[in-house]
Parts: sequence; C-alpha cells; structure tokens
Amino acid sequence: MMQASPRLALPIKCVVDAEGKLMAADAAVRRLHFGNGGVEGGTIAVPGLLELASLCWRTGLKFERTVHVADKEHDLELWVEAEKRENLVNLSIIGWQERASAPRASSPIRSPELGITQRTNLPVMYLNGTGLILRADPVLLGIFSTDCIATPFGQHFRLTDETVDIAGLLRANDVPGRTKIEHIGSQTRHDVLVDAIKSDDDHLLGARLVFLTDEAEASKAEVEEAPSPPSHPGLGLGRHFATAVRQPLGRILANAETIGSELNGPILEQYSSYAKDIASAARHLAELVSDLEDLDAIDKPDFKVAQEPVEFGDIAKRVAGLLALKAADHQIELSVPDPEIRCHAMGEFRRVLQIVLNLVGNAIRYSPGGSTVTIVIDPSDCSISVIDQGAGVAEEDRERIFTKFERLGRSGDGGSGLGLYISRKLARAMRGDLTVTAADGGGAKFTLRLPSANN
Amino acid sequence: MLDAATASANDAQMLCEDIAQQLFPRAQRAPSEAILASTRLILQNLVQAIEAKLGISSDVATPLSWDMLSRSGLLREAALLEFALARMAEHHISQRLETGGAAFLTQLPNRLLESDDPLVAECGRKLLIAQNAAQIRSPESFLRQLPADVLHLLVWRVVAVFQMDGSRSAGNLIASGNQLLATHDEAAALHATAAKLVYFLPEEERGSLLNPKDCGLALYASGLAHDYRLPHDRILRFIDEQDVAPLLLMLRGRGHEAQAALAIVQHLRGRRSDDHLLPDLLVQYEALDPEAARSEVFGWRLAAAPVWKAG
Repeated sequence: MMQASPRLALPIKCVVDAEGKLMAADAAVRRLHFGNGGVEGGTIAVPGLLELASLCWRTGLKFERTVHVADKEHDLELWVEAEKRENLVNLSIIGWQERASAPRASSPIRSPELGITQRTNLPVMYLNGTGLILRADPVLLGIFSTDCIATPFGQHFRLTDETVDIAGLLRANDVPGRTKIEHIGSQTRHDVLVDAIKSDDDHLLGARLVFLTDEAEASKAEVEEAPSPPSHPGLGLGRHFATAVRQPLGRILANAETIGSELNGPILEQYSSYAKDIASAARHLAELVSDLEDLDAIDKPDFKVAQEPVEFGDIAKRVAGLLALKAADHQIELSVPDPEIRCHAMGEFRRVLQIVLNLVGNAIRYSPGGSTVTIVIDPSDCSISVIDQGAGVAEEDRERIFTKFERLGRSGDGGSGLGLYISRKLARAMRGDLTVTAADGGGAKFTLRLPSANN
Repeated sequence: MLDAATASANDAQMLCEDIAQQLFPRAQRAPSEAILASTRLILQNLVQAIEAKLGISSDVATPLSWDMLSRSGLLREAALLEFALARMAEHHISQRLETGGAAFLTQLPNRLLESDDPLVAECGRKLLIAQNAAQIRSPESFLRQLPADVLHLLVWRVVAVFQMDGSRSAGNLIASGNQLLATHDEAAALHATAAKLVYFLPEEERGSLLNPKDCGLALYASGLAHDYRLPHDRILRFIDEQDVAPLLLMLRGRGHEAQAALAIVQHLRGRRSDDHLLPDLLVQYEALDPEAARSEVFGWRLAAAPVWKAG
C-alpha cells in the first residue's frame, strides 16, 4: 500500500503567490504541475497544493498537513508544510508517498495482560519501563503541566531522601510501596503509592503512581514546617492552586448539572434534587476559589490594574443583563440608569465590571422580595452607586464590612466575606474608592468612585 | 424603537429558517437533548477561551459574545459542529477504553519514544503530550485542538462582535486576535500529531495500526483516516455512532475477518443495547467483498469534505 519510507532527505520546495501562481518550484513539483496541464508562471495545477497555499495566504497561519495528488500511475500523498512570508506562500514537501488502493491484510496482535486493572479516584501518573512519564491525570497536569510528558520522571521529581532515582528502581524491578516524592520545580512534596505494572511473564512494563496528597495539602504542610514567613502578604496558595481545584470542581459541577437536568434520561425526583444541591455547592466552592485567587493576587505588592476608559452606563447595562435572571428569581426589580447618562472613568474594564457585579449580586441576595435594586450614575462625582431596600448597614459596621472574611453575623447564604474586601482593594488599586452609606428611605448605598477619564 | 423594529423584521426571516430546519430535518436521526447540550457546551467553551485570550473576562458561564454569535448564525459552521461532535465521541470512546487499565504502556506511542528515527521518536513524544493535554477538557484544551483555519474563522467572528459592541478598542482586539492566532500551533493538536506519526511510521510498525489495542485510539483513528482519506474527526464519530455499520464497512475494507472485526468493535464501542443485532450483521459482513466495501467507504470522502457557510 505504501512505500517503506515517505520521508525525503531534502524537502521539495515551491513558492506560490497571492493568486495561486507558481513562482518557483523544484523539479518534482514542476513535473506534477506540467503533467496536470499547468503552464509556466500560471496557477499551480496541483489542486491540493493550491488549496493549502490559498488557505495559508488567506489566514496568514502556518499549516502542516497531508495533500493528496492524482499522479499518472499512482495517487500521491504528500506531507506539506505551508508558511506565508511577505506576499508569498512557501510550500515545503517533507514526505512523499505513493498510494495504491489495495487494503492491508489483518493481523490481530495480542496485547499483554497488565498487572493493574483497578481504578481509583485519586490522581494517577504512569511511567513506562524506562522511567519516562507517559500519562498523568488532568489534575496533575494542572500542577506539573504537560511539559513533563514523555520526559524522565527523575528530571521532575526526586525521592525525599535524594539517594535513589525512581527510574533506577524500576529498572532494578525493586519498586517501593508508599513513598514521598518532591517536585523539583515547585519543591512541593507528595505522598505517592507506587505499583509495578508487569506482563504475564513477569516483565516490568512500567509503574503507576497514585498521588495520595495534593499540592494544597502539601503547601499547608510546608507552611507549617517553614521557619520563615512568606515573602509577600498573599495567601501563598501557589500559582497552580486555582487551576488544580477548579478542574475537579468543574467536573463535579458538570456531572451534577447533567444528572440534575436529566439529560441522559429520567431519574427519581429526589436524586435530581440531590444533584442540584451538589451543583449548587460546587458553584459556591468555585466562587470561593475565584475569591481566594483574587485575594492572593491583590494582596501581592506587585498587583497592578490596567488604566483604560470605562463607561459606567455600559457597565450598568451589562451587569443588569447578567443578573436579570437572578433578580427575577428573588422577585427583585433591577432599575438601571437612563441610557442617556454617560460617565467615563479610568480603570480596568473587567475589574470595574467585577466590582459592580459583586455589589448588585449582594444587593439582590440581601434584599427582601418585591423590593427594587437601583443602579445610579453620577457624572459630576464620576461614581456609580448600587442602592437597595434591605436592612442597611449600621454606621459602626460601615468600615468593618470591607474587612477580610467579615460577614456581619450572617452565615449560610453562600457568601464568603471576601467580595467587598476584594472590591474595595480593586477600587483603590484603580486610584478610586468604594464606600457605603445609608440610602434615602432605608437600605444601603454602595458607591464606587474612580478618576474621571475627562481629566 | 428603531432597533426593536429592525430586530423583529430580521427575526421574521430567521423564524422561517428555524421552522424549516425543524419541519424538514435532513439527518435520519433527530439529535438528542444530551447531544445538543454537550455541543452547546463545547462551543461555549471555545468562545469563552477565545474571549479570555482577547482579554475579555466574564464572571458568568455564558460567553459575552454568545448571544450575538448564536443568533446571527455565525456558529452554524459544519466544521465547527463536527469538531464539537467529534470531541464528544472521543470522550465517550476514551472513557470506555480507560476501564481497560494501563494498556497504553505497551502501545505504539510508548514504543516509538525509543525509535532510532529522531523524527518518529519526536512525533511519539508530541503525540503523548497531545493525548495528555486533550484529556483535560477545559476551554483552553478545546481551543488547542482546533484546526488553525477553524480557529481563524472563529476568532475574527468573536472580535467582530466586540467591535460592533463598541465597548473595547478595536486596535487592542485585533492585536489580541493576531497574537492568539500567531501562538496557536495546529501541529500540536492530537489529530495532527497522530496524523504525522501515521504518515511517517516505519513499515515494520504499520501492522500495529490495524488493532486499537496495540496503537491506542488516536493512532487507530488516524490510521483509518489515512487509509480512507477521511477526516480524523469523522472517523471518531463513526466509531461512536449508535449504528455500527460504518465502522464494520471500514473494517471489511481493511480485510479483517469477522471475528477480528467483532473484537475491534467490542473493544472500541463496549456493550451496546443493540448488540443482539451483531450476529446477523456479521453474517452480512462475511458475505461482503472487501474491495466493494473499500470503494464504498472511499465514496464517503465527498460527504466528509468541509463546507463553509461563509468567510
């Protein structure tokens, strides 16, 4: 069906212009071009190459694909790299195969039985017989990244006593049971269970490492052991913490929502209700992770925000759109400012949106049903306010409410006590402020002030 | 008033198209709620990942440009929907194969890491990396799997939505879009690494491509794609289809005997509700001329060619 080696010692090259004209070509391409009725300086008469060149020219992207060509005696399958340079497309053919139509005969191959078949919910990494990392669960890739794949385990991890290399252990067929390893990059320690994987004839095929502790626990242990304080006032969660936690949470949320919405068929009503509870809890945890991630970021001394023009009316419109369903669920009316009122402030768009979303979300959460949450813009003060008709905030609590984890005695409502702390920090990072006062007729009025873009 | 009237007028035409689609569906099977929900989720993941790369953050699950993209029909690209359906199929098959333990330790990609040919060893390494990355199933991961031309199309549509919206600097959006495209490496996607490895695989290893137990799903699908010149994603869908006939025809075209074909079918598809039909199908399978099966499958290439609705 195919030739033994399709790889060419030297690439065959050709250059095509914006209109598909063949500007220059090695002999093999010229033969195809003229063989298909092409003319000197005319459009390249090899449809597959023309199509690839046209795609590359139109998008400006680099492509590496197979191209099928009908030749006189055989079909050809070429491996072609295409790259646009200035106004020309350079095509490099690095593989050249003649294809016939006869199918290959079947020769079923037996796969050896493996020593391990049991599954576990703990994150797992597999090494092959020479100690290369072959596969890792997504949660581990979130921590160690895919860069570790197909590279020696010993390059990334060491045993804590640093006296033996795990690849050496595998080669010697002397695999330990439970052991501690250390990730060299992050210096995090992990308890792992090492299982040897063997074939029927007792030949060592590789190893399975079950991670018994995750990075979060390991980080905690390190903080407890560490004699010196962290170098910055952040939580020190590690840059991979949110990624590592979000992935399993995302899986919980997606599965719970799939079960709860009965997408795969009807289930008992109480099970659907349990699934919705799980989804709700996972959503709450995901929000908490986002808050903690923000907290970690904004408490660092090098935290910076962008300065760009932000229009408060636009922010109000977006927030109202995003939270309309939530407000309707709570039977709360959302009142937005007159679209004619424009107020341009300086700040980072997504951070301003985050603050106002937090304020309106809180107002909806803590206001009585049937009440109104109003967003007001004051261009003279370059501010946007969120006014609710709830119980209000007592004067003595108006500063305390912006402190970390402060809930003013509330619990069980899904809040983390971090939203307002983060919002004020963000507001101040944008050279503005976030304050709370009493609204006319009761309730609370949270006001975000930012520098005006007109100054 | 002007906006509302125009929106309503446009809606009149859209309504015709929506009704036509529901009254006169062209596929024999109606898509299930689960398929629709999963397709929407994957497309939302893609748009969300692109928005994040464009520097547009959203605190809600639905991307900010989703509403306009979906209403304007900009997401109705066959290539995009095929991508989403194939990722679902890939996930289903992989989950079934995962229950087989650590079979990949003896499979082809692992063996190729020690190939004497540096190109083949490098392809094997890249395939393993792509396989691991693909199992993450995050917005970012879906984005990495997109063919460059599909990404190109999608990126500029998302950019266009925010440009029309007028809330962001057009220059910044275009710069971020170009940056995203410049850093996208189509050759690192799972289907691309598998296709390259299949193409450059040494002759003595090609037999492994005939058995998914020996080469793993990605190379098996790429091997079939290579043999029949069909897209890798279409092969994945054929494998996961409720109807086993397309897969059986591809196996017959490769010359597998009935029992060998049955073993492959059961390995890839697991137990199915219509397994009781398999004995009858296998009788028909044996009666089928491999050459006829092969030429039939070759005819599917035209139907599998990507069709772009626009730009």
